[in-house]
Amino acid sequence: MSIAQAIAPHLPYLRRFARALTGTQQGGDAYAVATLEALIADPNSFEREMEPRVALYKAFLKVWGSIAINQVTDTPSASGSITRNLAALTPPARVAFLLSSVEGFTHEQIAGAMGRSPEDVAGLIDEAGREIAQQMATDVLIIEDEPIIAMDLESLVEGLGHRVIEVARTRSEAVEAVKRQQPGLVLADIQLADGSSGLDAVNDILESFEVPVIFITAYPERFLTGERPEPAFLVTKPFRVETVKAVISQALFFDQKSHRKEKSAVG
Amino acid sequence: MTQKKSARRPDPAKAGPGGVGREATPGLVPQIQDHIGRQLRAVYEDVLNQPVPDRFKELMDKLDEKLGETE
Repeated sequence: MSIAQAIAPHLPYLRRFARALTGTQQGGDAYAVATLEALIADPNSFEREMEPRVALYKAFLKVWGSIAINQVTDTPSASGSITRNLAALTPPARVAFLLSSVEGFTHEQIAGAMGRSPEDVAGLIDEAGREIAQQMATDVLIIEDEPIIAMDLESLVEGLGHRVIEVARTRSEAVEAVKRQQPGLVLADIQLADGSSGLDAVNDILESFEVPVIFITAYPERFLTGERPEPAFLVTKPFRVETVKAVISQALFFDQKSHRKEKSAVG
Repeated sequence: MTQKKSARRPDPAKAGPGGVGREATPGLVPQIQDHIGRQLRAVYEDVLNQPVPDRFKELMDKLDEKLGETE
């Protein structure tokens, strides 16, 4: 099989990886094209003893690491926060993280593509996790009237490296809390101690600023029938700690800020 | 806020062979990294469904020609 035949099926994946790595399709394609040009100039540089996909990515990474192709910035899109979050990772950690999480490479394959040991790769992926956690670290407002659940949420949130600025038990406490300090994330129960609604509290808060919001409730129907902000996340009680952690990380990594739903006839 | 954040920075002195440093700087558990990875794959999925641009096809042909010459 020729090199071209061996690598052809992997080109769409390489373009995906290149886009994730550089932040834009245009920028990614420029590197992918430069990789093919480098192979044409010197076909022997292709490591035939490797799996073709790994060898292709290795050739790509060599080009990416050695040439600065004009960094084109596409118009900011919905994925702007993702690009920003990925771009903030140190390059080797970003490469290892994307090869693992997006491309589904094993540590051995990543080691081959990056020219490093599998142990190094494991370290880089851990490093990427730490860097992402640090970037996402934010101040959290918890709106929850049940003390035990509030404590569980506090320790869960702190375990992810965030800081809980306040636990509000009612709608008015929540509104007062954000006047003192603006949170970067809100976790909200819906049915609160004094009969007030966490949904109303969040809608009040979103009048002054946008913030990712995760509703954690035993009464999902109140969320589904209420006037809810968009986008918003819903976790039902009793919750699994891992679920809440994953939703928090998703909301922050993808910067999914909620805003008030546009009212139509009402108000 | 600033104080608390600086306290979260990795402390190299604490990072020992037992992975003590990880406690000072919480990372992402593998499940969460996987979760983010799945979301990222969804974000970039459209690239896989697009036809590969002509420029790539031209270069692949050139690569074949070049190999035809050398092999």
